[in-house]
Amino acid sequence: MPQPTNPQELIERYLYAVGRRLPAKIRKETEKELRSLIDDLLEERCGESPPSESDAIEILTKLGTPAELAGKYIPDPFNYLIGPSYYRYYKTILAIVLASAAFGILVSSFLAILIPSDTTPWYQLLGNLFADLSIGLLAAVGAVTLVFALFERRGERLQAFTPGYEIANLPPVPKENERIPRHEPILEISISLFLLGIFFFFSDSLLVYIQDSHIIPIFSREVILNHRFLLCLAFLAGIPVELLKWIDGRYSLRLAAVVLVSNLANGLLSAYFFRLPGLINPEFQQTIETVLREKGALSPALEAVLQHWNLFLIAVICIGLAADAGVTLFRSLRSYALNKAEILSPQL
Amino acid sequence: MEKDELLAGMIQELRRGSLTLCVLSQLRCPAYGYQLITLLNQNGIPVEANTLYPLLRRLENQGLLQSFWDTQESKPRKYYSVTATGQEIYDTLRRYWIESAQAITRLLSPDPTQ
Repeated sequence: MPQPTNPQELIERYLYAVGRRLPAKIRKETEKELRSLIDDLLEERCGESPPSESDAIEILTKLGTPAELAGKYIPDPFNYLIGPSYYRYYKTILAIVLASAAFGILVSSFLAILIPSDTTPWYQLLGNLFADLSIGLLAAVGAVTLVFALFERRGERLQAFTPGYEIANLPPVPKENERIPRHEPILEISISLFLLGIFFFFSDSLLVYIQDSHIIPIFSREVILNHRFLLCLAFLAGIPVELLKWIDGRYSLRLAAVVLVSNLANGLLSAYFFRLPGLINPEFQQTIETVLREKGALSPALEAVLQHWNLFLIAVICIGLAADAGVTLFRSLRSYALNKAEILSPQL
Repeated sequence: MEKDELLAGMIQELRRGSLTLCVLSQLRCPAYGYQLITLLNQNGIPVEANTLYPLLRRLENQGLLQSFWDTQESKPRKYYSVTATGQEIYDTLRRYWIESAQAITRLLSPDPTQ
Protein backbone atom coordinates (compact mmCIF):
# COMPACT_ATOMS: atom_id res chain seq x y z
CA MET A 1 0.00 0.00 0.00
CA PRO A 2 1.47 3.41 -0.92
CA GLN A 3 2.46 5.49 2.11
CA PRO A 4 0.78 8.90 2.32
CA THR A 5 3.10 11.72 1.46
CA ASN A 6 1.41 14.57 3.29
CA PRO A 7 -0.73 14.97 6.41
CA GLN A 8 -3.79 16.01 4.42
CA GLU A 9 -3.70 12.78 2.46
CA LEU A 10 -3.41 10.86 5.72
CA ILE A 11 -6.40 12.73 7.18
CA GLU A 12 -8.48 12.04 4.08
CA ARG A 13 -7.64 8.37 4.32
CA TYR A 14 -8.60 8.34 7.97
CA LEU A 15 -11.89 10.13 7.35
CA TYR A 16 -12.70 7.77 4.50
CA ALA A 17 -11.95 4.77 6.71
CA VAL A 18 -14.25 6.14 9.42
CA GLY A 19 -16.95 7.15 6.96
CA ARG A 20 -17.20 3.80 5.24
CA ARG A 21 -18.08 2.24 8.58
CA LEU A 22 -20.91 4.69 9.24
CA PRO A 23 -24.51 4.55 7.98
CA ALA A 24 -24.87 6.47 4.71
CA LYS A 25 -27.24 9.06 6.20
CA ILE A 26 -24.73 10.36 8.74
CA ARG A 27 -21.55 9.70 6.78
CA LYS A 28 -21.05 13.01 4.99
CA GLU A 29 -21.91 15.22 7.90
CA THR A 30 -19.79 13.24 10.36
CA GLU A 31 -16.81 13.36 8.00
CA LYS A 32 -17.27 17.11 7.63
CA GLU A 33 -17.49 17.62 11.38
CA LEU A 34 -14.47 15.41 12.06
CA ARG A 35 -12.48 17.25 9.42
CA SER A 36 -13.23 20.50 11.18
CA LEU A 37 -12.22 18.94 14.52
CA ILE A 38 -8.93 17.62 13.13
CA ASP A 39 -8.18 21.07 11.69
CA ASP A 40 -8.75 22.59 15.12
CA LEU A 41 -6.56 19.98 16.81
CA LEU A 42 -3.76 20.52 14.27
CA GLU A 43 -4.02 24.27 14.64
CA GLU A 44 -3.77 23.96 18.40
CA ARG A 45 -0.77 21.69 18.10
CA CYS A 46 1.19 23.42 15.36
CA GLY A 47 0.02 27.04 15.52
CA GLU A 48 1.01 28.93 12.39
CA SER A 49 3.57 26.38 11.16
CA PRO A 50 2.36 23.75 8.68
CA PRO A 51 1.59 20.40 10.30
CA SER A 52 3.85 17.45 9.57
CA GLU A 53 2.82 13.89 8.94
CA SER A 54 3.82 12.91 12.47
CA ASP A 55 1.55 15.65 13.87
CA ALA A 56 -1.33 14.22 11.92
CA ILE A 57 -0.49 10.69 13.01
CA GLU A 58 -0.40 11.71 16.65
CA ILE A 59 -3.75 13.48 16.49
CA LEU A 60 -5.46 10.70 14.57
CA THR A 61 -4.03 8.11 16.96
CA LYS A 62 -5.60 10.00 19.86
CA LEU A 63 -8.95 9.85 18.09
CA GLY A 64 -8.66 6.07 17.95
CA THR A 65 -8.68 3.63 15.06
CA PRO A 66 -11.30 4.31 12.38
CA ALA A 67 -13.28 1.30 13.55
CA GLU A 68 -13.24 2.46 17.18
CA LEU A 69 -14.31 5.99 16.31
CA ALA A 70 -17.04 4.83 13.93
CA GLY A 71 -18.22 2.36 16.56
CA LYS A 72 -18.82 5.21 18.99
CA TYR A 73 -21.11 6.91 16.49
CA ILE A 74 -23.29 3.89 16.10
CA PRO A 75 -24.02 2.51 19.53
CA ASP A 76 -25.39 -0.73 18.17
CA PRO A 77 -28.02 -2.13 20.50
CA PHE A 78 -27.11 -5.55 19.09
CA ASN A 79 -23.43 -5.15 19.67
CA TYR A 80 -23.25 -8.63 21.05
CA LEU A 81 -24.54 -11.88 19.72
CA ILE A 82 -26.07 -12.87 23.04
CA GLY A 83 -26.62 -10.10 25.57
CA PRO A 84 -26.54 -10.14 29.36
CA SER A 85 -30.26 -10.88 29.70
CA TYR A 86 -29.87 -14.20 27.92
CA TYR A 87 -26.28 -15.15 28.61
CA ARG A 88 -26.99 -17.00 31.85
CA TYR A 89 -29.65 -19.15 30.16
CA TYR A 90 -27.43 -19.58 27.12
CA LYS A 91 -24.59 -20.97 29.21
CA THR A 92 -26.86 -23.43 31.04
CA ILE A 93 -28.69 -24.64 27.94
CA LEU A 94 -25.42 -24.92 26.04
CA ALA A 95 -23.89 -27.00 28.83
CA ILE A 96 -26.91 -29.31 28.86
CA VAL A 97 -27.01 -29.72 25.09
CA LEU A 98 -23.25 -30.28 24.85
CA ALA A 99 -23.29 -32.84 27.65
CA SER A 100 -26.27 -34.60 26.11
CA ALA A 101 -24.74 -34.59 22.64
CA ALA A 102 -21.41 -35.89 23.92
CA PHE A 103 -23.16 -38.56 25.97
CA GLY A 104 -25.37 -39.67 23.08
CA ILE A 105 -22.52 -39.82 20.59
CA LEU A 106 -20.12 -41.53 23.01
CA VAL A 107 -22.58 -44.23 24.05
CA SER A 108 -23.73 -44.99 20.52
CA SER A 109 -20.11 -45.02 19.31
CA PHE A 110 -18.94 -47.39 22.03
CA LEU A 111 -21.84 -49.70 21.32
CA ALA A 112 -20.84 -49.68 17.69
CA ILE A 113 -17.27 -50.57 18.65
CA LEU A 114 -18.41 -53.35 21.00
CA ILE A 115 -20.78 -54.98 18.53
CA PRO A 116 -18.87 -57.09 16.01
CA SER A 117 -18.98 -55.72 12.54
CA ASP A 118 -17.79 -57.40 9.38
CA THR A 119 -17.32 -54.16 7.57
CA THR A 120 -15.69 -51.55 9.77
CA PRO A 121 -12.36 -52.03 11.60
CA TRP A 122 -12.09 -50.73 15.17
CA TYR A 123 -9.64 -47.96 14.32
CA GLN A 124 -11.99 -46.61 11.73
CA LEU A 125 -14.80 -46.64 14.27
CA LEU A 126 -12.54 -44.75 16.67
CA GLY A 127 -11.74 -42.24 13.95
CA ASN A 128 -15.44 -41.94 13.23
CA LEU A 129 -16.06 -41.32 16.92
CA PHE A 130 -13.72 -38.32 16.99
CA ALA A 131 -15.17 -37.00 13.75
CA ASP A 132 -18.74 -37.43 14.98
CA LEU A 133 -17.90 -35.91 18.32
CA SER A 134 -16.34 -32.84 16.71
CA ILE A 135 -19.13 -32.37 14.20
CA GLY A 136 -21.87 -33.13 16.72
CA LEU A 137 -20.55 -30.75 19.37
CA LEU A 138 -19.91 -27.99 16.86
CA ALA A 139 -23.42 -28.40 15.48
CA ALA A 140 -24.81 -28.28 19.03
CA VAL A 141 -22.94 -25.03 19.79
CA GLY A 142 -24.10 -23.59 16.47
CA ALA A 143 -27.73 -24.53 16.95
CA VAL A 144 -27.99 -23.24 20.53
CA THR A 145 -26.13 -20.03 19.66
CA LEU A 146 -28.37 -19.46 16.67
CA VAL A 147 -31.55 -19.88 18.71
CA PHE A 148 -30.34 -17.47 21.39
CA ALA A 149 -29.03 -14.98 18.83
CA LEU A 150 -32.48 -14.98 17.26
CA PHE A 151 -34.04 -14.34 20.67
CA GLU A 152 -31.61 -11.45 21.14
CA ARG A 153 -32.34 -9.96 17.73
CA ARG A 154 -36.07 -10.22 18.06
CA GLY A 155 -35.89 -8.66 21.48
CA GLU A 156 -37.98 -11.44 22.98
CA ARG A 157 -38.12 -11.42 26.71
CA LEU A 158 -37.07 -14.72 28.13
CA GLN A 159 -39.31 -13.91 31.06
CA ALA A 160 -42.26 -14.05 28.70
CA PHE A 161 -42.10 -17.79 28.78
CA THR A 162 -40.95 -18.03 32.35
CA PRO A 163 -43.95 -18.32 34.68
CA GLY A 164 -44.05 -16.07 37.67
CA TYR A 165 -42.07 -13.28 36.12
CA GLU A 166 -44.64 -10.89 37.52
CA ILE A 167 -44.69 -11.21 41.28
CA ALA A 168 -48.48 -10.91 41.42
CA ASN A 169 -48.77 -13.90 39.08
CA LEU A 170 -46.35 -16.24 40.80
CA PRO A 171 -47.57 -19.81 40.41
CA PRO A 172 -48.22 -21.91 43.50
CA VAL A 173 -45.40 -24.06 44.79
CA PRO A 174 -45.74 -27.40 42.97
CA LYS A 175 -46.50 -30.43 45.08
CA GLU A 176 -44.10 -33.32 44.98
CA ASN A 177 -45.98 -35.21 42.24
CA GLU A 178 -46.35 -32.08 40.10
CA ARG A 179 -42.64 -31.45 39.90
CA ILE A 180 -40.44 -32.48 37.01
CA PRO A 181 -36.92 -33.21 38.20
CA ARG A 182 -34.21 -31.18 36.50
CA HIS A 183 -32.42 -34.26 35.27
CA GLU A 184 -35.46 -35.60 33.41
CA PRO A 185 -35.33 -33.30 30.37
CA ILE A 186 -31.54 -33.70 30.23
CA LEU A 187 -31.90 -37.46 30.26
CA GLU A 188 -34.61 -37.35 27.61
CA ILE A 189 -32.53 -35.14 25.31
CA SER A 190 -29.60 -37.52 25.82
CA ILE A 191 -31.74 -40.54 24.89
CA SER A 192 -33.07 -38.74 21.81
CA LEU A 193 -29.55 -37.82 20.77
CA PHE A 194 -28.44 -41.38 21.40
CA LEU A 195 -31.18 -42.75 19.14
CA LEU A 196 -30.45 -40.07 16.59
CA GLY A 197 -26.77 -41.02 16.69
CA ILE A 198 -27.60 -44.68 16.14
CA PHE A 199 -29.78 -43.95 13.12
CA PHE A 200 -27.34 -41.46 11.72
CA PHE A 201 -24.02 -43.10 12.12
CA PHE A 202 -24.48 -46.76 12.95
CA SER A 203 -27.62 -47.86 11.19
CA ASP A 204 -25.70 -50.55 9.37
CA SER A 205 -23.69 -51.87 12.28
CA LEU A 206 -26.10 -51.61 15.19
CA LEU A 207 -29.49 -52.55 13.90
CA VAL A 208 -28.71 -56.05 12.80
CA TYR A 209 -30.00 -59.53 12.98
CA ILE A 210 -27.11 -61.92 13.43
CA GLN A 211 -27.54 -65.37 12.02
CA ASP A 212 -24.56 -67.69 12.07
CA SER A 213 -22.24 -64.69 12.28
CA HIS A 214 -23.95 -63.21 9.24
CA ILE A 215 -24.95 -59.61 9.81
CA ILE A 216 -28.03 -58.29 8.11
CA PRO A 217 -28.96 -54.66 8.57
CA ILE A 218 -32.62 -54.11 9.39
CA PHE A 219 -32.72 -50.76 7.65
CA SER A 220 -31.26 -49.45 4.45
CA ARG A 221 -28.48 -47.05 5.43
CA GLU A 222 -28.85 -45.23 2.15
CA VAL A 223 -32.53 -44.47 2.69
CA ILE A 224 -31.83 -43.33 6.25
CA LEU A 225 -29.03 -41.04 5.16
CA ASN A 226 -31.12 -39.63 2.33
CA HIS A 227 -33.83 -38.72 4.83
CA ARG A 228 -31.68 -37.64 7.74
CA PHE A 229 -33.46 -34.29 7.83
CA LEU A 230 -36.62 -36.14 8.97
CA LEU A 231 -34.72 -37.59 11.90
CA CYS A 232 -33.39 -34.15 12.76
CA LEU A 233 -36.89 -32.70 12.55
CA ALA A 234 -38.20 -35.40 14.86
CA PHE A 235 -35.42 -34.60 17.32
CA LEU A 236 -36.05 -30.85 17.08
CA ALA A 237 -39.79 -31.38 17.57
CA GLY A 238 -39.04 -32.74 21.02
CA ILE A 239 -36.75 -29.89 22.08
CA PRO A 240 -39.49 -27.36 23.04
CA VAL A 241 -40.99 -29.96 25.38
CA GLU A 242 -37.71 -30.60 27.13
CA LEU A 243 -36.92 -26.90 27.26
CA LEU A 244 -40.27 -26.16 28.86
CA LYS A 245 -39.85 -29.00 31.33
CA TRP A 246 -36.47 -27.64 32.27
CA ILE A 247 -37.63 -24.02 32.58
CA ASP A 248 -40.95 -24.65 34.37
CA GLY A 249 -39.98 -27.78 36.27
CA ARG A 250 -43.66 -28.68 36.68
CA TYR A 251 -46.67 -30.09 34.92
CA SER A 252 -48.97 -27.45 33.50
CA LEU A 253 -51.57 -27.14 30.80
CA ARG A 254 -49.14 -25.37 28.54
CA LEU A 255 -46.68 -28.22 28.90
CA ALA A 256 -49.49 -30.62 28.01
CA ALA A 257 -50.33 -28.53 24.93
CA VAL A 258 -46.69 -28.47 23.80
CA VAL A 259 -46.36 -32.23 24.39
CA LEU A 260 -49.51 -32.90 22.36
CA VAL A 261 -48.29 -30.81 19.43
CA SER A 262 -44.77 -32.24 19.62
CA ASN A 263 -45.93 -35.85 19.86
CA LEU A 264 -48.40 -35.34 17.02
CA ALA A 265 -45.59 -33.97 14.87
CA ASN A 266 -43.36 -36.88 15.87
CA GLY A 267 -46.11 -39.40 15.12
CA LEU A 268 -46.66 -37.95 11.65
CA LEU A 269 -42.92 -37.86 10.97
CA SER A 270 -42.53 -41.47 12.14
CA ALA A 271 -45.45 -42.58 9.98
CA TYR A 272 -43.85 -40.92 6.98
CA PHE A 273 -40.33 -42.12 7.75
CA PHE A 274 -41.11 -45.77 8.39
CA ARG A 275 -43.23 -46.00 5.25
CA LEU A 276 -40.39 -44.82 3.04
CA PRO A 277 -39.96 -47.29 0.17
CA GLY A 278 -36.91 -49.48 0.67
CA LEU A 279 -36.31 -48.45 4.29
CA ILE A 280 -36.69 -51.99 5.63
CA ASN A 281 -34.05 -54.27 4.22
CA PRO A 282 -35.94 -57.04 2.29
CA GLU A 283 -33.16 -59.52 3.11
CA PHE A 284 -33.83 -59.01 6.79
CA GLN A 285 -37.53 -59.77 6.37
CA GLN A 286 -36.88 -62.86 4.27
CA THR A 287 -34.19 -64.23 6.59
CA ILE A 288 -36.18 -63.85 9.75
CA GLU A 289 -39.25 -65.35 8.07
CA THR A 290 -37.22 -68.36 6.87
CA VAL A 291 -35.66 -68.89 10.28
CA LEU A 292 -39.00 -68.76 12.06
CA ARG A 293 -40.62 -71.02 9.48
CA GLU A 294 -37.82 -73.59 9.87
CA LYS A 295 -38.33 -73.55 13.61
CA GLY A 296 -42.08 -73.84 13.13
CA ALA A 297 -42.61 -70.68 15.10
CA LEU A 298 -44.21 -68.62 12.36
CA SER A 299 -47.78 -68.05 13.43
CA PRO A 300 -50.15 -66.19 11.09
CA ALA A 301 -50.06 -63.19 13.44
CA LEU A 302 -46.26 -63.10 13.43
CA GLU A 303 -46.24 -63.47 9.66
CA ALA A 304 -48.55 -60.49 9.36
CA VAL A 305 -46.24 -58.47 11.61
CA LEU A 306 -43.20 -59.42 9.53
CA GLN A 307 -44.93 -58.54 6.28
CA HIS A 308 -45.94 -55.17 7.62
CA TRP A 309 -42.86 -54.61 9.74
CA ASN A 310 -42.93 -50.87 9.13
CA LEU A 311 -46.58 -50.52 10.14
CA PHE A 312 -45.81 -52.48 13.29
CA LEU A 313 -43.00 -50.04 14.14
CA ILE A 314 -45.26 -47.06 13.45
CA ALA A 315 -47.94 -48.54 15.71
CA VAL A 316 -45.46 -49.10 18.54
CA ILE A 317 -44.11 -45.55 18.25
CA CYS A 318 -47.58 -44.00 18.07
CA ILE A 319 -48.78 -45.97 21.08
CA GLY A 320 -45.70 -44.77 22.97
CA LEU A 321 -46.28 -41.16 21.96
CA ALA A 322 -49.98 -41.33 22.80
CA ALA A 323 -49.20 -42.86 26.20
CA ASP A 324 -46.65 -40.13 26.88
CA ALA A 325 -49.11 -37.40 25.86
CA GLY A 326 -51.87 -39.07 27.90
CA VAL A 327 -49.74 -39.26 31.04
CA THR A 328 -48.61 -35.64 30.66
CA LEU A 329 -52.18 -34.48 30.07
CA PHE A 330 -53.44 -36.43 33.06
CA ARG A 331 -50.76 -35.04 35.36
CA SER A 332 -51.26 -31.52 34.03
CA LEU A 333 -55.05 -31.65 34.50
CA ARG A 334 -54.63 -33.07 37.97
CA SER A 335 -52.20 -30.29 38.79
CA TYR A 336 -54.61 -27.72 37.34
CA ALA A 337 -57.52 -29.10 39.29
CA LEU A 338 -55.52 -29.11 42.50
CA ASN A 339 -54.32 -25.58 42.01
CA LYS A 340 -57.13 -23.48 40.59
CA ALA A 341 -55.04 -20.44 41.22
CA GLU A 342 -52.22 -21.63 39.02
CA ILE A 343 -51.37 -19.02 36.48
CA LEU A 344 -51.47 -20.36 32.97
CA SER A 345 -49.26 -18.85 30.38
CA PRO A 346 -51.06 -16.43 28.10
CA GLN A 347 -48.76 -17.51 25.30
CA LEU A 348 -50.29 -20.93 24.88
CA MET B 1 -1.77 -2.77 38.07
CA GLU B 2 -5.03 -4.61 38.57
CA LYS B 3 -6.05 -2.17 41.28
CA ASP B 4 -5.25 0.78 39.00
CA GLU B 5 -7.36 -0.68 36.23
CA LEU B 6 -10.21 -1.27 38.62
CA LEU B 7 -10.00 2.31 39.84
CA ALA B 8 -9.79 3.67 36.30
CA GLY B 9 -12.90 1.71 35.38
CA MET B 10 -14.78 3.07 38.40
CA ILE B 11 -13.77 6.64 37.66
CA GLN B 12 -14.86 6.17 34.06
CA GLU B 13 -18.24 4.87 35.26
CA LEU B 14 -18.70 7.92 37.48
CA ARG B 15 -17.75 10.30 34.66
CA ARG B 16 -19.81 8.62 31.98
CA GLY B 17 -23.11 9.43 33.59
CA SER B 18 -22.21 12.98 34.50
CA LEU B 19 -20.76 14.01 31.14
CA THR B 20 -24.18 14.46 29.53
CA LEU B 21 -25.16 16.84 32.33
CA CYS B 22 -21.93 18.83 31.87
CA VAL B 23 -22.48 19.08 28.13
CA LEU B 24 -26.08 20.22 28.46
CA SER B 25 -25.03 22.79 31.04
CA GLN B 26 -22.69 24.47 28.55
CA LEU B 27 -24.97 24.59 25.53
CA ARG B 28 -27.53 27.21 26.41
CA CYS B 29 -25.54 29.29 23.91
CA PRO B 30 -24.48 27.55 20.68
CA ALA B 31 -20.99 26.07 20.70
CA TYR B 32 -19.06 23.77 18.38
CA GLY B 33 -17.46 20.54 19.47
CA TYR B 34 -13.88 21.64 19.87
CA GLN B 35 -14.95 24.80 21.67
CA LEU B 36 -16.92 22.64 24.11
CA ILE B 37 -13.90 20.41 24.73
CA THR B 38 -11.84 23.48 25.62
CA LEU B 39 -14.60 24.84 27.82
CA LEU B 40 -15.02 21.60 29.73
CA ASN B 41 -11.25 21.15 30.09
CA GLN B 42 -10.92 24.65 31.49
CA ASN B 43 -13.56 23.78 34.07
CA GLY B 44 -11.79 20.63 35.20
CA ILE B 45 -13.80 18.14 33.14
CA PRO B 46 -11.30 16.63 30.71
CA VAL B 47 -13.02 14.95 27.80
CA GLU B 48 -11.69 13.30 24.67
CA ALA B 49 -12.93 14.37 21.25
CA ASN B 50 -13.76 10.79 20.36
CA THR B 51 -16.12 10.68 23.31
CA LEU B 52 -17.66 14.12 23.00
CA TYR B 53 -18.43 14.18 19.27
CA PRO B 54 -20.41 10.94 19.21
CA LEU B 55 -22.18 12.06 22.40
CA LEU B 56 -23.22 15.32 20.75
CA ARG B 57 -24.68 13.41 17.83
CA ARG B 58 -26.51 11.04 20.13
CA LEU B 59 -28.02 13.89 22.12
CA GLU B 60 -29.05 15.52 18.87
CA ASN B 61 -30.74 12.32 17.72
CA GLN B 62 -32.54 12.13 21.04
CA GLY B 63 -33.88 15.64 20.49
CA LEU B 64 -32.00 17.21 23.39
CA LEU B 65 -29.70 19.24 21.13
CA GLN B 66 -30.14 21.04 17.85
CA SER B 67 -27.41 22.03 15.43
CA PHE B 68 -26.59 24.28 12.52
CA TRP B 69 -23.58 24.74 10.28
CA ASP B 70 -21.79 28.06 10.29
CA THR B 71 -20.00 28.47 6.98
CA GLN B 72 -19.22 32.16 7.39
CA GLU B 73 -15.89 31.63 9.15
CA SER B 74 -12.63 30.37 7.70
CA LYS B 75 -13.73 26.76 8.20
CA PRO B 76 -17.23 25.34 8.48
CA ARG B 77 -18.27 24.47 12.02
CA LYS B 78 -21.24 22.65 13.41
CA TYR B 79 -22.79 24.48 16.34
CA TYR B 80 -24.93 22.75 18.93
CA SER B 81 -27.42 24.20 21.40
CA VAL B 82 -29.98 22.82 23.83
CA THR B 83 -33.58 22.38 22.61
CA ALA B 84 -36.63 23.10 24.80
CA THR B 85 -36.85 19.39 25.65
CA GLY B 86 -33.14 19.33 26.34
CA GLN B 87 -33.50 22.26 28.70
CA GLU B 88 -36.37 20.59 30.53
CA ILE B 89 -34.39 17.40 30.95
CA TYR B 90 -31.32 19.33 31.97
CA ASP B 91 -33.25 21.20 34.70
CA THR B 92 -34.53 17.93 36.14
CA LEU B 93 -31.14 16.26 35.91
CA ARG B 94 -29.51 19.25 37.53
CA ARG B 95 -31.87 19.13 40.52
CA TYR B 96 -31.31 15.41 40.83
CA TRP B 97 -27.55 15.86 40.65
CA ILE B 98 -27.50 18.54 43.35
CA GLU B 99 -29.63 16.45 45.71
CA SER B 100 -27.54 13.34 45.07
CA ALA B 101 -24.29 15.26 45.48
CA GLN B 102 -25.47 16.63 48.82
CA ALA B 103 -26.51 13.18 49.98
CA ILE B 104 -23.26 11.60 48.82
CA THR B 105 -21.23 14.36 50.43
CA ARG B 106 -23.02 13.68 53.71
CA LEU B 107 -22.25 9.98 53.35
CA LEU B 108 -18.62 10.67 52.55
CA SER B 109 -18.05 13.06 55.41
CA PRO B 110 -16.04 11.64 58.30
CA ASP B 111 -19.11 11.76 60.52
CA PRO B 112 -22.26 11.00 58.45
CA THR B 113 -24.56 12.29 61.23
CA GLN B 114 -23.26 15.83 60.81
